[in-house]
Amino acid sequence: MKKTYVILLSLCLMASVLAACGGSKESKQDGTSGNPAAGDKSPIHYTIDVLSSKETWDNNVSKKLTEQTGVSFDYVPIVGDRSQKMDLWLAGEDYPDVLYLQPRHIGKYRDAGAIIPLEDLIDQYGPNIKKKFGKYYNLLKDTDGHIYSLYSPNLATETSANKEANFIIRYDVLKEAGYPEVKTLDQLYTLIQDYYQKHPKTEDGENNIPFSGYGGSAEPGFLTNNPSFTAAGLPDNGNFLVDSDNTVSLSLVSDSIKKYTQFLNKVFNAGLLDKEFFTMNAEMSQAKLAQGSVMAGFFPAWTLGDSETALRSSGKGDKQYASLPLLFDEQTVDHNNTKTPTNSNNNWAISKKAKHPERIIEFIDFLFSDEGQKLINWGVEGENYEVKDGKRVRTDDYLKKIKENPDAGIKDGPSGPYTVFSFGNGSLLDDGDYATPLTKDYVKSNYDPDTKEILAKYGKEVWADFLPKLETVPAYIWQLNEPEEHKLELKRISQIYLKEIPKIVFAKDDQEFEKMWTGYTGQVDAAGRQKVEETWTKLWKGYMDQYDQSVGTK
Amino acid sequence: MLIRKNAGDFWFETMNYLFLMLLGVITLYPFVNLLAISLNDSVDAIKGGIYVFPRVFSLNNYKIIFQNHELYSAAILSVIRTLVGTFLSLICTMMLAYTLSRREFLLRKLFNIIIIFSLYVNGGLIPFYVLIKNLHMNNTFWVYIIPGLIGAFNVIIIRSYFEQLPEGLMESARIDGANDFSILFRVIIPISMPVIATITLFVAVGHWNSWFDNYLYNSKQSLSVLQYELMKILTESTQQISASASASGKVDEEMLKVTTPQSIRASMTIIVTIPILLVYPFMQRYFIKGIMVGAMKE
Repeated sequence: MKKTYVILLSLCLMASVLAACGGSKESKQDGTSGNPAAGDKSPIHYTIDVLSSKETWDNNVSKKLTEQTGVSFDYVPIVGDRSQKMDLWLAGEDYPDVLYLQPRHIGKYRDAGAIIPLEDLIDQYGPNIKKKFGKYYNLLKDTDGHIYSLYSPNLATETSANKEANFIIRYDVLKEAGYPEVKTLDQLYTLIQDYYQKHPKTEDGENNIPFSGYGGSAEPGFLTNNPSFTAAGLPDNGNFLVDSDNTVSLSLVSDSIKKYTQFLNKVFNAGLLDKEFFTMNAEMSQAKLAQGSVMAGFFPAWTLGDSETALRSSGKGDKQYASLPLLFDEQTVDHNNTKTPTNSNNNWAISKKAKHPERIIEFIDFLFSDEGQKLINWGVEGENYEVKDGKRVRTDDYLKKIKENPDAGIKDGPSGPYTVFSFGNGSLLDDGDYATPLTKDYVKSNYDPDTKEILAKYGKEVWADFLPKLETVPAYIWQLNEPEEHKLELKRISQIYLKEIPKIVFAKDDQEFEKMWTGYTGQVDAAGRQKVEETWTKLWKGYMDQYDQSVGTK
Repeated sequence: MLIRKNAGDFWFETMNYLFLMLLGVITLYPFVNLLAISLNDSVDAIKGGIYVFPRVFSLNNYKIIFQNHELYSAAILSVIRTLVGTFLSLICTMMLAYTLSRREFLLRKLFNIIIIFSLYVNGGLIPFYVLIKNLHMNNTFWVYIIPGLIGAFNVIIIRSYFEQLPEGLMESARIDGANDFSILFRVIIPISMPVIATITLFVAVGHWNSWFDNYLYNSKQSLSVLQYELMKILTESTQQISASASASGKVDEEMLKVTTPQSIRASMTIIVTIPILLVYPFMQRYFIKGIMVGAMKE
């Protein structure tokens, strides 16, 4: 009996050890070796990481790309914490041939020598890349002068047709007032006041909420900061403002945030502010939108999607929201609609493991050609799109497919890490037609009747038509690496902001408001505002010098 | 014998029951709420206000989750992993605990210190990852079982339990000719059911819930466990939202979501909790039974 136990146990353990040792040898052939001459189209195979396990190279566009370049990819999905996986890969030298990563991951890989510099390869094999980046080519370079990752230039010349402004007003509120032009916060105030007097409740008997916002104190930026610079017509620089001579100041104590807080105070004292303005979370504010009880507020378009679907599905299409750019006054010039010259967010880097890196550069270079752009944005001609009257449109067949199954595009359309090389919505190819399928006509075709009606009343085609002209800014300040210096002070200031703003909004009268505001700015000053501003000014000016040098404007 | 209850006892009991009932309701409510949300239409659920009963009944959320065929093979692997892992882990843990509980074991103190030490200090994620990789254990099933075979905490619990068993039991077994294996498996384990049941539950729940080792070490689809697959569905549903968010508000038809992350999360919680809930009643009797009544007279 006892022997049986011993034998059984040792067998168990043996088996487990053996199993652990076996089955791990798995050699991967990194493609055939070929002639490294340019224009080589022999089949070659690489691995690359992707963010979704659904992605597959077995896709009509991917196959076309292989046909054109000979290159094919195996996807290694990352599910979960991306930075952690990147670190683990680096530590175990397990990374794929091509890395699909974010700018913040590049430093470590560069320092470890895991990714190779690309500038010489681009010189030799990437004429299209150089051409399309044009004067912005040097922006690709790291501080040491080497290029470690590739991304796409943002060549948009007009606002993407699906972009929307951030202030919203419910359709029926506008309808009741006879579709007035609403351009300023004061006009909005009168509008919601009039409507609320007549209709304190919705048709369902819910209380109407005249003015609300997204996420309460859980989303501190959306309380007053983002609305304030939006209403001042300034680009989104997060917690900061940048003036014309590149001096950075804290937007949390700016004149515009004061103006906006004053507006909220006025709304509150008139009994028009959402009672849970500061206490709700994102889910609660979405629920309010979905019930159709919010009349107006500051809600970026991405916060509306689900709620508006819910409204439409319950037959309340007239309770959807018009997205309008509202400003402090008629004199304010709106510079809020901006883009950066490049789309550096998800980049491609080539690891030292990849054989024949020039083939990858050639592959990317192909994506930078008009033919490549058509493939990665529109798909395959005849399958995903067709040319009608000289214009590219998606085929009815493909439209139907993706409507029925949102994942259809993964199998039958442009999908995968190569789509990051798109030139951006609203950009044109050399043939004069749009580079991406998100055109005005397409966006329009997806609107429901209520949305079409209200846009027609305003003589617009899409919500993007309300926006000012698209402007290019060198970068947004929050894209720069945050300096460790004075990080603590900035954190303290954010805490003061979060604590004080609700009190100021609830001030009884102007006198009390002024008193509390002075107290608030005093606290922020004491918490090290000047130091923070100086640090960031230095950082931003440094960046701008480099930028001017790279782009050659100085 | 009857004990007469006075008014004080009556009030104490009433309050006690009320308090316990309240506690029960508080503990149960989040679960009921999730069940209601998971059984509600996802688009309708955005409106909020669902508490105990679903408003618009729908099984769609579950249907969407079960559409992922990878789930079935992953579920089977999860069950295998839980069974094999728990079994092996229990045997190894008990053997180590037994050794450490024997006073005649020379290195007892040293090993005890080593084990307690490992509770407080560990090598960290990256060294551990490199270790597993160098052992060629990544992309094998055994990476689920072997690294976690012995948990220091469990060893200490079992060891303490073994230590307080009367020494005479083992002595008498030894006199009858039993060796250490017989003593452990035939004398000690049968009278240690409460602690074994507890540890079994710890280990089994741990195995059932674990997805991180899968994410770290096994990228092969055939080695995916249930929790990892569910986790993928969840992250991908959120990604879909952010993708459609960047494609922005009203033109979502292309990204028309079949369900929302909130509803998926709720349904998944229900799916993964139910098997564990089903196991509990069967384990429960061991918590009460197994006390060694009349095994020994001191």
